[in-house]
Amino acid sequence: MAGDNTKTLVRMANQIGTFFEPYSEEEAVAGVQLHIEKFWSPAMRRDLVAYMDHGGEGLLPSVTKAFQRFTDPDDSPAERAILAPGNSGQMASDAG
Amino acid sequence: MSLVQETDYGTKKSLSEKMVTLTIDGMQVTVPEGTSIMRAAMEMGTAIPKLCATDMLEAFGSCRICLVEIEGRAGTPASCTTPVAPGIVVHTQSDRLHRLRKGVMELYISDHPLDCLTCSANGDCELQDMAGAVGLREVRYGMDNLSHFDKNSELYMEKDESNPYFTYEPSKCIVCNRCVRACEEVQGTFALTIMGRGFDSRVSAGIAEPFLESECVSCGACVQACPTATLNEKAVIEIGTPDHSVVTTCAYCGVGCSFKAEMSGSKLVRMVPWKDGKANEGHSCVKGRFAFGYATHNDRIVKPMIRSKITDPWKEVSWEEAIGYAASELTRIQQKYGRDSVGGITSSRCTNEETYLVQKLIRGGFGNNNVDTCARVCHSPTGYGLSVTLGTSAGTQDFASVDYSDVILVIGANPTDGHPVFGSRMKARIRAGAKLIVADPRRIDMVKSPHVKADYHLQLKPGSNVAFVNAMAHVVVTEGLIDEAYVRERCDLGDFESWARFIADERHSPEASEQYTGVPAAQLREAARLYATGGNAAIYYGLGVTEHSQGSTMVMGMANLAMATGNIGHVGAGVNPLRGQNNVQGSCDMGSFPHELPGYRHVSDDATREMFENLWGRPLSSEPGLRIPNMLDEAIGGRFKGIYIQGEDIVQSDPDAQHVAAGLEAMECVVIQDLFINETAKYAHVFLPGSSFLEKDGTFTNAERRISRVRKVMAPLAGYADWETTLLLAKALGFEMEYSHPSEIMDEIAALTPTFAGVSFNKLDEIGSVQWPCNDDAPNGTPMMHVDRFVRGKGKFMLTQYVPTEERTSSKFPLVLTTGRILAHYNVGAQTRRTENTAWHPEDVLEIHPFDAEVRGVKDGDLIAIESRVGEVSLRAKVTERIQPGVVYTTFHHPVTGINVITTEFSDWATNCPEYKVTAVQIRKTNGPTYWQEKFAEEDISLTRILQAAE
Repeated sequence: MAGDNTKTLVRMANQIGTFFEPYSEEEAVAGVQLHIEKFWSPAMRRDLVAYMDHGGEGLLPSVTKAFQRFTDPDDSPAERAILAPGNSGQMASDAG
Repeated sequence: MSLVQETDYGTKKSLSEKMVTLTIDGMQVTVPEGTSIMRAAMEMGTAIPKLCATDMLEAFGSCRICLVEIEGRAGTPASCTTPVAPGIVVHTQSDRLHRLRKGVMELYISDHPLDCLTCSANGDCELQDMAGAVGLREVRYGMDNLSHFDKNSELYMEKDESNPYFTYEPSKCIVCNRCVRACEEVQGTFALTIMGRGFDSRVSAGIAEPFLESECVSCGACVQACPTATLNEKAVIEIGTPDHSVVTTCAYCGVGCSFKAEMSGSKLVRMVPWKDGKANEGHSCVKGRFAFGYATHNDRIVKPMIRSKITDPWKEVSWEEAIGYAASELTRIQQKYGRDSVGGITSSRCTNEETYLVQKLIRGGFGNNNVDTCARVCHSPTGYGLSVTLGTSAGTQDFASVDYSDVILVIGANPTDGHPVFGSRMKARIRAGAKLIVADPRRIDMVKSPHVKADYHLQLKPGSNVAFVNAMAHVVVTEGLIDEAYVRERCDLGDFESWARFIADERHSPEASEQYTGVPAAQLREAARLYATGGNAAIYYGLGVTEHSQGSTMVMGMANLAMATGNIGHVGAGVNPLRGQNNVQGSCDMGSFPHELPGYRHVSDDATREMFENLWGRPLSSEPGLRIPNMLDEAIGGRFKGIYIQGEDIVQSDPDAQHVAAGLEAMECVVIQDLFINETAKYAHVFLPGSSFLEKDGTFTNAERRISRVRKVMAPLAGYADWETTLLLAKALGFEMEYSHPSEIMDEIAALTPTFAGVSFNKLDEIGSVQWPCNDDAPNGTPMMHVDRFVRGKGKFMLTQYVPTEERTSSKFPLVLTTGRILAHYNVGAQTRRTENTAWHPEDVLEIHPFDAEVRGVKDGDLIAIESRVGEVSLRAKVTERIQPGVVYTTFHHPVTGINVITTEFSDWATNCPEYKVTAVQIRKTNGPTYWQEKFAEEDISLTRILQAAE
């Protein structure tokens, strides 16, 4: 794991979660998940998943829930984390 | 090749659709109503003699040379000020006219030196031409009368050579007023005037000031307008008149002006704005017009260099050795640390074709998506925010649209400095009556300058943009100013309703927001009403919107506001980013982001990826790669080890410079392709010489999505154009690409990218330029987006909650630093610092309000230290009321200032665009450079040494 990097990833994830706060919980969790899938590299996702495995302190609930979807027991975290955002829905448009 | 000649029609084109037929010299001609007789004659090929008329300016009617006779009308009216009328019969030549013109010319010449043979305008002088055209053979008054050119005359004035690029020689002035009118009408600065009356009249910068010290912004409009050598480029005086020219595109800001590069042999004499260029229509600024000397500056590195450690001196080597070394190092790193351990950065200053090749090399050659570009640090939130709400990640209008705006809202942009040619256009529209709202923490020139005054200057606090735009929207929603029919027809109603409920909440009211924005609620309400009800309302914005931790939210907030008031999809309206670099739009279009292929298609899209894989013959990763800050973080963490950077200086331009440098230091191979040893090159192991925009063919895409040709006017100084260097590196990495000319690269882009399907060099040569999307549906491009429907289908309102940045002022850091640009310089200054533009701005200074200065004992010109929680630098203070109390401002053009040493790691939530615009700082008087600056001075030598080759 990239040491100092985790702090940055936690802040990034929480910033995304904070944007979706005015939305319903389901929309917020889906929004965070989709954003992470679209813009985070697999290594970054794995780092945050590893951080969650160590307690995930300081993460917003919507972020934790979004990442829990990556860590569905049926898939290994790494496998799940590299799944493509297939049905990406309304937030799927380009650029960033 | 010869000089590209442009016809001067004498007066402007009439936009009337009603046609008028008249007879000129026995020939029938049909022109739009409102056309001058002069222009009508020129359209049929008859050049009526003229001196004070030129088609960039309104007719003036002062020189009395362009007289004509009209049957049935008395006298000899001036053809420039006389409009055509149906059925009139005009004669442009007669004995009487000949006599009159000759008499007038004789008077002009009696006060003009007869030194044509040694004059710098010899062969390029309208006075000379007209003397010939009217058949002047003698001056009966003699040349010994009271004159302006006789050095012993009381009227004689010395030549003004204060401006670094052009001279003003009053003795050659014919007082045609063209320069004064160009400064007013074209540039809008009003720096020039005519002093004195009658025979004493003479052009004056300001109140008889030297040009450099006057308000003149050195845009060159006056020089271009001058018919004589009175205002003449120093380069022409030195070299002589050019012998051939090529039309190309400026490599400075996102306006993307067209210029004629006028050459003498292989030497660039001058850049003259091209009237047919649709982005600039014959206008220019001090950078594009004059600041091209960097391209042939002695600092240019023209030999490849390598070194194994950054503390070693550089060793000059052959291209083969440098490319071979770079390729073997990158290969070694990937074998040792894995496929994802390397990446690259494309350049927003290079052409579309070059940018495309670099991302192709990274995706196809490196086998990962670790590619990013400088849009990361400027307009990435624009891409994200506009695509989510509207469906495309680019501005909605062409520049000409502003001519039809009734209300202009400028947010976080400084058009007169950052995008001067567009700024002039905007000022012209405001002078013609459009209303102006400026939302900016600083009193920019648009707020108040000659004949321009903002109706509202909403001086908001840095970091409060979203609170501000929400308050604007709150007024629109709660005061019933929504364009309901528009929203119902064009937007997603479910999203709209939840947005309207959200925004109507009292917490978004101007009164509740005032605590964050500092903008008086009553003033904001009036401004919101004006925007919503004042007619065509356009938003123009810059990095003051994007470079915040809520940059993307703010872009969405502006799109919400524009949709709610029906201000997208018609002329004069829109949401328009003023993009920073010449090709930053293009670099985004060309797939420079780590998550998307050219044309903004996500890497996870199988069908798109397959198309690229088939053509490129390489498997492509379906996973997003790393953004620049993530590359640097991973480098410090030990996973990311090698990078190929084409034309970008991240150590100077990116925030938290010491963190950037630490990331690069942690890498094993940094390959830099650039014109100069820039700050980033201090941390490099391989230096590949870059080529300037004058040395290659290609295209740039400007802020209005306009694709324009860049044309080679001289051979690459180092032997290769940038696209050729990328091909060499790709080949050495085993990923060979076959192109013999950049046009073939564009053909490949067109084949793979639906929005570029109709673009080719042939088409661009044929029609000049084209705005994407350009395809079968829009073969000549798309000046305006979202005309009947939004690109994404229904416009999507997003909930934009205001979240204050984590960067807070405190007792230790009580002031907010915000950064920006200045007219004379461009970005990191690598180009402009190597030109005479330093005459206007030799160093970065810190603007500070008198209150804040006084409590710290700081006086104008004092050296002060500015400290944030990440670093400290020192620079000189400029005490000014342009900036509000509690806020300080500076530019980032000089590396020795190192202002990004103190900007922080905070960034936009969606795109990681850095929060340059808000840094909590403290300021104190000091007497020397800071520790970082001393280290900089030492490293500026120790990390840039070049080993002298042993003979």
